[in-house]
Amino acid sequence: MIKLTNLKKNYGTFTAVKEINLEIGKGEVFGFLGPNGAGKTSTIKMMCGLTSITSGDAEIDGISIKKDPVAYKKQFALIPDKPYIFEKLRGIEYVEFIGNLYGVEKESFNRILAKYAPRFGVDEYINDFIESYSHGMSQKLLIVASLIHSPKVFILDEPMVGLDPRSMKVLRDEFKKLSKEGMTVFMSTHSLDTAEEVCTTVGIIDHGNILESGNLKVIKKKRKNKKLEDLFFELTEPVEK
Amino acid sequence: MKDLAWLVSFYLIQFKNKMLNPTKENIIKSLLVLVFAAMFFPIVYQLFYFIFKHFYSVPIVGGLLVNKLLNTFFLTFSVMILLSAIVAAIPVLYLSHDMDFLFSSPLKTETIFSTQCVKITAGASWMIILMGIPIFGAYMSVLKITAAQYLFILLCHVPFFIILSSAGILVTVLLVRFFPAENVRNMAIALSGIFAVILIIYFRMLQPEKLTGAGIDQVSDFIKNLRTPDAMWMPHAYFVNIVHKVTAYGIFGGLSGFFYFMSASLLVLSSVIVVSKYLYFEGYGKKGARRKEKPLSLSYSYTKRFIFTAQSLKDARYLLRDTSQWIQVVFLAGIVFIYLFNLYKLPAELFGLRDFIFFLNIGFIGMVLAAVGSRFVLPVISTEGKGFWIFKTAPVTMPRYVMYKFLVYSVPLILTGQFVAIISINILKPGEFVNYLTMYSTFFITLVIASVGIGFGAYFADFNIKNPEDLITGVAGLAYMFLSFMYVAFVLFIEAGIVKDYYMAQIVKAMVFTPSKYVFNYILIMVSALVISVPCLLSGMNKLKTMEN
Repeated sequence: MIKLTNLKKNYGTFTAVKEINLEIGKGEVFGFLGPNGAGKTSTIKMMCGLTSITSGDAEIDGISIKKDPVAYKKQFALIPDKPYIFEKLRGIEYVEFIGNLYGVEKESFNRILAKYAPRFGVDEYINDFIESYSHGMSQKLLIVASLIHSPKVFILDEPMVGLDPRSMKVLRDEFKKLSKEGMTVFMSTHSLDTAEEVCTTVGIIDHGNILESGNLKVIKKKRKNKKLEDLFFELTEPVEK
Repeated sequence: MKDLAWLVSFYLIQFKNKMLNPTKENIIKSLLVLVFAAMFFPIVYQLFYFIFKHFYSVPIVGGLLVNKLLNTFFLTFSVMILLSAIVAAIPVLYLSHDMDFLFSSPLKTETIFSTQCVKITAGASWMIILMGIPIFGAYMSVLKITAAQYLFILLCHVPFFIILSSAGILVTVLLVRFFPAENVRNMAIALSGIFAVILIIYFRMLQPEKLTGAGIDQVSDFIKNLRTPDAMWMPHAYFVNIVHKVTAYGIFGGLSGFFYFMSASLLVLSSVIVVSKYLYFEGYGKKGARRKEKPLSLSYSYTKRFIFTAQSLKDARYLLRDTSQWIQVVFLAGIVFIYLFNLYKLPAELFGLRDFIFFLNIGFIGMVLAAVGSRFVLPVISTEGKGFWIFKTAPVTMPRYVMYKFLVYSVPLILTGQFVAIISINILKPGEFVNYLTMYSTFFITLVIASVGIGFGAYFADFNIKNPEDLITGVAGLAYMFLSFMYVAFVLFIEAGIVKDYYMAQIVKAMVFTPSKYVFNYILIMVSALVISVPCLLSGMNKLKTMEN
């Protein structure tokens, strides 16, 4: 479903992401792990068209972001690490705006909204102005709005930050349900417990290189059944000079 | 008292650090303020010198006229201080990051409140004292009062400021007790803007130009029209009365008045502090509380719209809900009104030159529209702010996004241009040919303004700006203004010959004016508009496409 081929990002002379390759299948929950500054957000930004790709390509369901960006962008939804949204709108107006932006049909919109708004507790405050929302409330509204066009791929950058425990649980459960329905989830996170609980596949990135990637169970087996946390520290341990 | 001293020193240290370690931005701002002050002071001084001198030359009632004028000004200042105090009080008393820290410290609420009152009063009144310095400087020169009297008059501003800003603070504390702080602030900003526009229109409608070479009757009529309440308990009337006494009898003449005025101001301030003891902290606790709307209704139904319509609707909602935006609409409507009023009041003897004036009118319309565009078109892409990622990740190409914006903003701008052109046609009633020429030129001028605004707005987009003025006063604003004015000048240059021939044909009957002779000029106006518009829009599109988020 997602294919990154030799994806590279340079900022001037600094290389943030060094020709990484990843393949994530349909219905998988992929955990993108790495320390701060490892290249996670740069990779996500390239995958979502938020920053230019220095070289390489990203594909979703065989459609290249370089060749057909519009068709590519129809297939995913992004939840960025900081939920900046149009704060002078009411929550419902924002979700409607996103629905219109993606050309969502009335029947589909009403069905998805009725399904997810109560599940994330967004229905309680969806008619309020976004400027009055807390970080967590904005994050949950963004999640509901992102699901409104039934994306094939759900890309999330640190989705658990700012969420209350109930919403975190709902989101974790939702990842599992969505992946069963065939949606691919690409999630960058610092929470190794979350990754261990919900991710079927993981990729560990550091200094712009993918150090390990693949099925979590297989990786663990290969690494003598170590916990994900131990594995993470082992792979990303700073090299002593 | 010890607490108060500690708190004052806390702010003084912050102020000292700010002064000793200025940022580049602050240095530029301070320099701009100095340049502005250097230009502003002599202009205000000269203006008031002229007014005072003119009024005092009127026999018998000269002094009364000046008093009436001061009354009017200080009543206006009263309203301005009152509203400014409300606008300044909300961030200082409720939204400032310091407040949580101060409330968690072992300080009394009254101590915190009193210190903030000083900050608010200073914030709400500094502009007025800056106005007062040249106004009373002119007063001093015309009435030949001493420097000591002048300084005493400036000192008398202090109780005037304290009373009015205390009233503003009291209104704020009462309102925030019942309404969200941000709403109260928006309301005050809106009222200030509307008040300023009404005031400007009011003074313009009084037609002060009638005073040029006017006799005593006209001057008296003019002043009579400046009807202001002047009961002595009103701070502005009391202040003007002290000024009058100081002028007539010296400092000692106004000393008792000043003493009473100062005492009254301290009494008002103390009363506000006492009242706030019961209201302020409770209001602070619920500062961010908003009216809870109803949850999602089961009967809710989505309306599918075209992206263009959805985007227009979003932008319209933003415009209507952001007070700082629509207050600008009121301001610009005021400017357009005054411009049209000026045309309406054009001296009859100039009507012989109406075609020529009307030709220049095309340029004026262009300038007014460029000003409108700088505020409403240029910053529209940057004002998407950090939410711009939504468009970058959506299935909308940047060229399409820019074209949507262009369509959304060019249509109202073109309509406004045509509206102003039609109204001015009706006022000046030039010949039929000039009517069409004006509408044709205005159309292309607005088209250029809209495309340069959107194109440069996209090219110089800055999604971190806090308010649109940051973009308008930067490189983007300068480039936009330069290109827009250049096009307006170009249009006037191209049309000058046509209007001259038309005008000559009106005077010299032997000359025949054939509009079709100038087809090349009309095409040149259209082609040059496209030559400017298309590259501007394209460069904006390309820049957004490659912009890193």
